[in-house]
Amino acid sequence: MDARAQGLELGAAANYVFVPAFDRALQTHNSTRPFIGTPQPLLEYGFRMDAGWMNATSSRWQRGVAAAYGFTRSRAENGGLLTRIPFHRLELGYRWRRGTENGVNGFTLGVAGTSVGSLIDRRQSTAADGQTERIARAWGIGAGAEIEVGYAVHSSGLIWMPFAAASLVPLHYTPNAEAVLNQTRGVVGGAWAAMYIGQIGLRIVRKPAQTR
Amino acid sequence: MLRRDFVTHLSMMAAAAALIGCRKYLLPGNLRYDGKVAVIGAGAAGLYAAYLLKSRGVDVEVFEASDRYGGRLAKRDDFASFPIDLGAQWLHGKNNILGDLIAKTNTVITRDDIDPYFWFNDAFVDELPVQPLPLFYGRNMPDISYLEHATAKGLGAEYRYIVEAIAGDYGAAANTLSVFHAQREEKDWSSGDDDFKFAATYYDLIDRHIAAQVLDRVRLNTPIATVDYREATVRLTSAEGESFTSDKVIITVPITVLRDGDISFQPALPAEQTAAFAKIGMGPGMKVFLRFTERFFRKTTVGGSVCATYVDDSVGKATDDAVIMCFVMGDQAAALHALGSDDAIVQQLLDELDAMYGGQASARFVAAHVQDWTAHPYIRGAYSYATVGIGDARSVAARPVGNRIYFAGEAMNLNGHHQTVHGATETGYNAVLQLLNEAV
Repeated sequence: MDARAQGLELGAAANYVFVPAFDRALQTHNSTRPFIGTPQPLLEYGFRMDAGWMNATSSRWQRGVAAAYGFTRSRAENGGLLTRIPFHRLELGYRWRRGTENGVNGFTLGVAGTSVGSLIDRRQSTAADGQTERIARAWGIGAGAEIEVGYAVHSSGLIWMPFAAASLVPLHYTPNAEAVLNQTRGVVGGAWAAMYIGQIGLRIVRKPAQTR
Repeated sequence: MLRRDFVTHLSMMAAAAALIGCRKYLLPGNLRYDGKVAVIGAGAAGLYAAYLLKSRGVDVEVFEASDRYGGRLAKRDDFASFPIDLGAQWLHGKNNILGDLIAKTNTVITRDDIDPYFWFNDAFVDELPVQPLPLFYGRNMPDISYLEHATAKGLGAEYRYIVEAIAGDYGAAANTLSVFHAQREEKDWSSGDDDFKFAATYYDLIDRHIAAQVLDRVRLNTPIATVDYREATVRLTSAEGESFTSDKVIITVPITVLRDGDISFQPALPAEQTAAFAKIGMGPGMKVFLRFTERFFRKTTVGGSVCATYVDDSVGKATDDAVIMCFVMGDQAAALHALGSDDAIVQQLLDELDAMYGGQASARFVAAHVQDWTAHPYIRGAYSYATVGIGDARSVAARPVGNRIYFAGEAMNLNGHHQTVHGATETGYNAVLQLLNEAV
């Protein structure tokens, strides 16, 4: 990666979310409702988009701020009942990245500290009235860290960087999440729901003018 | 790229993969049990426990003391042009397991958000000089009764039956319901704030979609008198001396039945647990339906001295026969119960309605149905409430015993949904999950 690259970068990724507390709540939901033929899927697969502003601090190191939005959804249709549980995440973080020398293709390694805001809804619509109703909602807040491995490919004006990343958000406080997922509180778990997130995606970094 | 860099990057990726792959925990959906389970009580909790067990292929049998299933859910079809719920009637919030069932089955419900009128100083008012309800919520509430707290907050005698109506909503008399514990027990409420009524009845929902699945497993007229769990196999003996065996037992009877010792346990349950049964309140409760030739009454009236809450029962129904449901709880229910006859009970209520509406009640009266839950030999009250000093009695009462005896029913609900049908249902599935988890 260009050592002196600084400026905007944009990324998009497929992500895999693993929140054990959410899984337990959804599995309890599914296993206690025999009248539901199609189980509510776990909140697992989704996408994530991010934007960052990075500054070079040496020939191989960059650092800067980054913001990301992630989305995962659980959707199940049972006869006339459609239940959707969207899970939104907004992340703000500070990222450090070690790359290659100017113009050299190669691996990069990044780490980030992140703060996370989350929102889960439970939305139901029935065939009878066709209306969608939000019947429960849970806000969350958390903090964690992310590690990212990428491969920088230089082209004219841009750096293309496929990457894989893993996030750990051990401190994720979302006291009403069980009320959304299993429609109870305190039966399946508590207010804390650690999150693990894996991503595979592509980031595009605009090369600064002086490096062209 | 240096080999050292490559190894570093590779190890990082492996760590990340390991992190997201570590999902070794018990999946409730995978739990199985090959033994036999007896469920005592065929109310909402017992029926749902049996339904869930049967759906997983578990051998289950339900023992019901009375000649009908449903517990505190019951209905009558021929009283008016719409069916009436003789027991539980409102769905309290949609965000619960029965809300899912209602949506799945396209069961018609209607939000019931009618503001009450108050019968206050012998006149109807739509607003009280002091709003009493907020006085019972807030930080540092004392563990004293609603009545004591109301007096301490300066509410005079004219508010007595308004406060009784508030306590009656909890199934309690104002002099026994704890301000502190009633609020504490509600803190985990997650079902939603709106109340809903059924176009048909609550009973129909449970009957058609839950009970219908397990009727072949329900044994009526079989009051269990003894639960003997000294051996590996639990032996149940009915009041008539019939004997049954099972590997595990889920007990879903009302708290009055446990409190009064109708069921004898061998060995005896822990003393702490039987003491907890006694701490959980469950007082007298009664619903009286009065049908009239035409409507002359307000939708909801709060503050009567004979009955603190009168409700237009046609709300949410497809037709609008003029039916008042008198929701009588606590001391008022005890007083009416003590009259000893339905006619006397109805006359007292008509007298009060005549006083409110200038004699129109008696003039337009057609028929009555008295559902005195206090008189039911296997129920004996309304529903559980937080007494002064209840402490953690619900959680102690609900503890499984010896990995074989499990407790369910609305009184055993620990997540704020006690006093409700959906709360009872949750305890039914909780008992099954406990049982299955401990069986693994």
